[in-house]
Amino acid sequence: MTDDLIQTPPSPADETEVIRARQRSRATVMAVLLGLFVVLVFAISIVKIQLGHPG
Amino acid sequence: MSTSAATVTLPAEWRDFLALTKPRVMTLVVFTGLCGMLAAPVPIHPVLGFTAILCIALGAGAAGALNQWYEADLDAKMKRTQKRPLPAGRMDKQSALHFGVGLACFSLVLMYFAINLAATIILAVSILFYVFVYTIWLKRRTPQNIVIGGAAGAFPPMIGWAAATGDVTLMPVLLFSLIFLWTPPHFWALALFVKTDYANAGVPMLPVVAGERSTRIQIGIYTIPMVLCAAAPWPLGFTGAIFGITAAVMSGLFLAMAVQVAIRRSEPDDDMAPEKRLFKFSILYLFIVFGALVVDRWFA
Repeated sequence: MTDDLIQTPPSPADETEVIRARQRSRATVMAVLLGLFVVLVFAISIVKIQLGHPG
Repeated sequence: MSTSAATVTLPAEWRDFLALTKPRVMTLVVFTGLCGMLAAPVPIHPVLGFTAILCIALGAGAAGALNQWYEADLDAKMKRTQKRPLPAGRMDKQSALHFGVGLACFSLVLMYFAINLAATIILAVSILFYVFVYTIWLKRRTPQNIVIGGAAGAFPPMIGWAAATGDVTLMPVLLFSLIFLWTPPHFWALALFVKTDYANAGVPMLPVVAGERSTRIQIGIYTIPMVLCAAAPWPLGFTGAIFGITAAVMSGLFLAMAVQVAIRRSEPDDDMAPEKRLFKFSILYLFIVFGALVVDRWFA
């Protein structure tokens, strides 16, 4: 409780840095997931062609 | 603790989105879905099998996210759930809603184009059932919430089976029934030792509304048809002796623990050891019985 009282709020510059760091990490994760999705769609397409399924 | 979206000023971390999908619950969903798929009489190509399981996992994650979006106020009142992203103020509600709806749509579209219509329909029904029937309609209104809502968690083996075969026969219905009937004793055993938490949050769990005595009897009652469902596939000729014997032994142990919980009365400052043991064993039970199903199909 005492810590809360004496804690100073983060400066706008610090907060901007935290926001940017989070956005960067989210963008990285999203890029990796999209890359994996492309690979998965490619693999599904190849399998469907091999199995003779057009859909 | 605050649940107000207005107090959230920072964007959520990707780990919070992952937490929103309830990864631990997903483990059991993925496992039973995989077992249903591997137990099917028609083998599925590994790439398509992986895709089907991925869709089941994403669908379960979407349902979990939407559940947390709707229940942020309840989660804030319970110790067990207070640290989730929404009640802890690490994420705003709108992000959770968009994430849940987006993930649900993605899982269904991928399931339809990569696998088949039957699996897509059952996946859609399970997501909608969990969100609308269990979370929004039943959970805050009736102590039978997990009995009916338990159906949502029982769909994965049926989805796995449908992904492999394209249809649903009696065997996946039995697997569905097994998990459906397993859910009440599993959750009520938990509810007996976290009763205060549910009562504080105003969730009408059976021990809170009907009392401990009635809950214990209900645990015993639901265990009997569950055991019959687990025993049925072998005599019906759907599985071999490996599954039959494993299911019989594990169900016998489950029944013994359930009876012990059903006939006892808790004392003041009771450590609720039999209830905790039944809860832990119920998770092991499902893993071993479904694991035996796959071993029986592939190695017998």
